[in-house]
Amino acid sequence: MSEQRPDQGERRHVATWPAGLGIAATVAGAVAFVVAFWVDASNAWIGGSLAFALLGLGLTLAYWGRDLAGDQVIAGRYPIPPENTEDQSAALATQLDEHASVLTRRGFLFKGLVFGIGVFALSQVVLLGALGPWPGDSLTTTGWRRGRRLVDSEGEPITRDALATGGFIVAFPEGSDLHQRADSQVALLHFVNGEFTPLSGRETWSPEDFVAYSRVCTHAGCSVAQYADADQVLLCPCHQSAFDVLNGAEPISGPAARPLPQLPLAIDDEGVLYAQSDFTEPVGPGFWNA
Amino acid sequence: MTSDRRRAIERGAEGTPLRDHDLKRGLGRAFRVRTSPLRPAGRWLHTNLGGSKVLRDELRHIFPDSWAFFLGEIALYCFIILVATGIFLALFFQASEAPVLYEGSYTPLAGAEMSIAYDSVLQISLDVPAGLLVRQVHHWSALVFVAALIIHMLRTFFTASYRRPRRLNWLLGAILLLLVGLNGLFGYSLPDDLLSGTGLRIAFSITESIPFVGPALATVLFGGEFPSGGLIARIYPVHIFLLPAAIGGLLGAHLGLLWFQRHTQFPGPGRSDRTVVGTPLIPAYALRTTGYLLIISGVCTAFAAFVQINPVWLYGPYRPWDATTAAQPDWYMGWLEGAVRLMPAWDIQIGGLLIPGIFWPAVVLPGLIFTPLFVLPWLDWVVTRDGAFHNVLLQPGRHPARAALGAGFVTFLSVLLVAGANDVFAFVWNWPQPLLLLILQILTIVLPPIVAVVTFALVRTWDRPWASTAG
Amino acid sequence: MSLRTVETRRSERRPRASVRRRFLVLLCAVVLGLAAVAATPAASRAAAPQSPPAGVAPPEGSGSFTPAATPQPAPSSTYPPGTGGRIYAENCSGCHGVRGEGLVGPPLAAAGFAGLVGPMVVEGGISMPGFAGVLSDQDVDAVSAFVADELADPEARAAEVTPGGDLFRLYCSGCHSAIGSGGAMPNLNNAPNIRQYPPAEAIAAMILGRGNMPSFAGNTFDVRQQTSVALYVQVIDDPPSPGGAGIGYLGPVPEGAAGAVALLVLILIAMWLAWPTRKAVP
Repeated sequence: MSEQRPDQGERRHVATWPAGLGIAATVAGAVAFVVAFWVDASNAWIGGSLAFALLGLGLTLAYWGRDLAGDQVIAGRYPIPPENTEDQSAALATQLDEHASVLTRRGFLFKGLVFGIGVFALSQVVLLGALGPWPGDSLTTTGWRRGRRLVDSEGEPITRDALATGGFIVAFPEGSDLHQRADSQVALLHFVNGEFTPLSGRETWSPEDFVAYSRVCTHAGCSVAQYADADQVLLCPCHQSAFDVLNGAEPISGPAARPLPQLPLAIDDEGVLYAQSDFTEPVGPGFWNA
Repeated sequence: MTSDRRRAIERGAEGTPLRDHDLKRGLGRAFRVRTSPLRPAGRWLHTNLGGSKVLRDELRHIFPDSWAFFLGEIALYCFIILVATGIFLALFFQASEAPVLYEGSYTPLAGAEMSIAYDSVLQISLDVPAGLLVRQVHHWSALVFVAALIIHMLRTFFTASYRRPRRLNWLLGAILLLLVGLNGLFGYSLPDDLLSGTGLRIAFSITESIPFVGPALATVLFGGEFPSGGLIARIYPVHIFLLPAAIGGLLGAHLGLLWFQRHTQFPGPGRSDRTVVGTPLIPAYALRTTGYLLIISGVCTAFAAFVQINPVWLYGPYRPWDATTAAQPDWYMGWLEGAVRLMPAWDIQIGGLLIPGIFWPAVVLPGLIFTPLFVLPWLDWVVTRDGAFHNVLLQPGRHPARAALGAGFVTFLSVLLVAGANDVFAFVWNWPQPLLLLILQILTIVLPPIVAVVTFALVRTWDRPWASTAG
Repeated sequence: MSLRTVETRRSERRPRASVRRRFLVLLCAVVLGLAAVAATPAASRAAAPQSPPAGVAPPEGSGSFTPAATPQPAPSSTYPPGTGGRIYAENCSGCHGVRGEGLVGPPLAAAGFAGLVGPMVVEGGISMPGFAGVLSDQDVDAVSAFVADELADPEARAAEVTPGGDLFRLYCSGCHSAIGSGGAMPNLNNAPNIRQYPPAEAIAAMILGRGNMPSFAGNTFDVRQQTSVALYVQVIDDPPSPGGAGIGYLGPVPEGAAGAVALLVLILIAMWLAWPTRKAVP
């Protein structure tokens, strides 16, 4: 059956088979959905049958409203703008003024009331402080202390024969928990060709050319997980900041502005690397009173 | 009594269509029902609502017609889908960061240490029947929700539907956009996977960067230095209750105003600021809109059935020392991500005090975007000095300045969106990423004014009605 | 514009070109790559079994293993004909050494699973030829079992996939993405899509390092860890996707594009719905 779209007012012969098809699709989809669910079919089958049913029913109703309901266009009035708005809104305003005068006519007392309400409302703001701790020194210290040994992700201490041919290891303080590991994580590098020159004041920080930089990006705190071995650059995957490891992890491109802090290292008698102290500056992104 | 007369009597005065439950074949004439079941319902309502005429009038409430008016419906129905699927998910999700060893069916993570939250999402995705489907419907409809909101907002802007008396409604809508975006951010962060956990870390850093109050605000809101171990538990009630309640309330007000003021309409025959022409609620519009709700559910379900979204088991649990490339937030946060990437490394040091560079693109820029957005109707009044009531829309093709402004704004956000994915585009197109970044930095400044000027010229010379109802 | 998986076999360095030409080249590369995968992989790489193919330089890198410059001649075999050991001696020992200690090719200490060795033998890797046209399926199985059981370090056979996933997300996903799709790096030294290679290629890459990829062998990863990472790479080689099409495994970017498609479909349906009454008069 074909469908005609003539001008308004003429009788139309509208096809009903699309609605019938939609209902059939709804039922078929619903049955398929139940079957698929009970036989533990794949997500595609469960979802596909459900989608089929929903689309069938939806298109049926939509088609019914669009085509089978007949010509349904009517006219009416917008409630606004009503006539004589000025008079009515003035009347409303006067009425509101009258009711409010119970409060406002006692001038001084009313101002006192407003003041009291304001003070009370402001006082409740302190409840916000109950949500969490003040920063304290949490943002300026990490889990590193003097003598803390470096361990890898599985807890094995890192010795001087690590990284014999370059590359990097992700290192943590020995005995640290998850929270401490987050801001204590370092990328341990080993320069084997004598290409590394420590920055001034850091000559004792890199025994046998082992260097450790904080792995918390100074831009937005992501883990500086990329290491370009040939270019000798640590990169952050989040916003592509790049840090030059031969030059104190100075940022050379990307949005980071501060270098990665360097951890002062030493090697103990057993050949295990350990930290001489905590970082000498806060790790991670900068903040107001860093 | 002739059968015609009997039928006329049974039909009643209002002309309500009659359905005849004639069961004479099987059960005899005694069971024949002649009256519509809606009649007792109508009588009940009329009696118990004090004889109000309002209900009868509102049954024929008029909805003007245009495809452009369905955009808000897409958003509304996506919200309904999100609530429905969200209820299902909430019955399984556990919002705790306490560590647990995985014992579910996904063998590559067998015995892995992860948070209870991540474990529960794996359970929903891989062990609960239809759990993955519901989760994917939830996520797909969230993406479509925000997209529909933005297109709806653009339509409202280009047709100047926000003019008096709908200025408050615009403000409600703009607030809704903000709340919905925020709720989406919290929603996809709940699974505590590598991708979203990275996003939360960045959110902490952004909060931290605010001058004066940043560090304190960050530790107070996030429950301590990141990772505090309590963030997921804090986000959860915000995502499933606080924000949806706020969204629901504002949405109710938004729809209430829309209902009372009636929807705007495009110019056309019989249509004016006083006379609204359209489809009545009962029966045609109700049928169409209910159908549309089901169609939207169907499309989202189809996507959820056949296209995978956010496969958290492949990302692994969030640990602060893991990272992944191609780390974008969901698309509607992409503009913020792009702004953060494009911003050069401009920290400002004043003595011992620092304003980190991330403060400008991540805190100031959103403020600069949303503040004019909230007060747009009043900005419009300042520019046009038009405080009259309007129920008829402007045709975008006839207003070059408006089109140019909107096009420039959209271009700006689009460049930021592309910049948010610049590493993915650089990889897929095999372009050097620093070069692509530089190009995008230039385009951010240069392209919006160019597009605005070109749009202005095109609309000025074209000057044909865009969505005209004439002829 | 396609954001789908770029599974091609072209080299990583490219000169700059116009966007359209680049897209067409990409399209051709994808089509050719798919064709190459569909066809017998080693048909175009007829490998001389006893020496590495001409023109393949020993892999560069900062690896803990420095390959020898030239392969050694194959030793006379002490294994019976047809066994895995004999096949190994005749085909593999020239590059990998008599006992899998490594010569031109990397050592086989981490090749503890026949399931890892087999695809590598059949398809080959970045520097290794494939033997699909040279060895029958039974030969491949035999030599894989021989390598895994006899030549690999026993530690490697104790490797498990879960720690491999942990290590992958700690060391590898930052460059290669969590699902191994690859990632952009400066100067076009992109980290490639690792799904285009057999999983055992990951072991070779870890041992040798390649260009900007550091070496992870020696004291970063012990043998067991190398194998476990390769086991995890095997998992994401065909990522478990019960939710449907992976649309490139590039994260929220293609997902957002798909969401836009969904919205477009809904808008088109809205246009159909409103069509009859949009201009109607009462």
